[in-house]
Amino acid sequence: MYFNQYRQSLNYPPAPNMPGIPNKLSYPGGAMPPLQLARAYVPWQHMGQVFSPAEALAHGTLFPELVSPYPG
Amino acid sequence: MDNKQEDKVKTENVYNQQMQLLLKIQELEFTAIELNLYLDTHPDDQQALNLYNSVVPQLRKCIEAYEQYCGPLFHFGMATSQYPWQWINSPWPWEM
Repeated sequence: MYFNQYRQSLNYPPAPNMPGIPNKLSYPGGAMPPLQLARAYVPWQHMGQVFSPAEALAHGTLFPELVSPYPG
Repeated sequence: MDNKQEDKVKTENVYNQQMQLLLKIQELEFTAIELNLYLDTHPDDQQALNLYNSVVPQLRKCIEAYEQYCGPLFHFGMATSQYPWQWINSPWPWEM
């Protein structure tokens, strides 16, 4: 089954052709699972308490809610 | 303590003060750029704007003090150069 046929079966408009990307979906099992496009979410940031300049430089961010050290 | 030792202590103190000032500049600069980026997406945040407006003059003061006493931080910065040309004398970031 071609990608756009599949989209049509779900009443989606056809996707534009992307150069270099085949528009045929290959799925070894034969039956097509229901697919959805990826969606990204970014929650809105509200500034509250912030670090002092020295703490900010040490943490790599001014915002305590954004501290995320790499473990190890 | 003889004169040589005294001179050495003096030099070390000046160097430590210079490093303290440089660290302060890095801290304030980092805080300013963080607020800069935050304000790009939150232009109506009065609290962030107030903080930004208080950090920038502090940063400028530190840069002016550093350039006056320790040497240039920027090309065409806040201070002119003494003789001889001072640019290559300042510690580089990896020498801190």
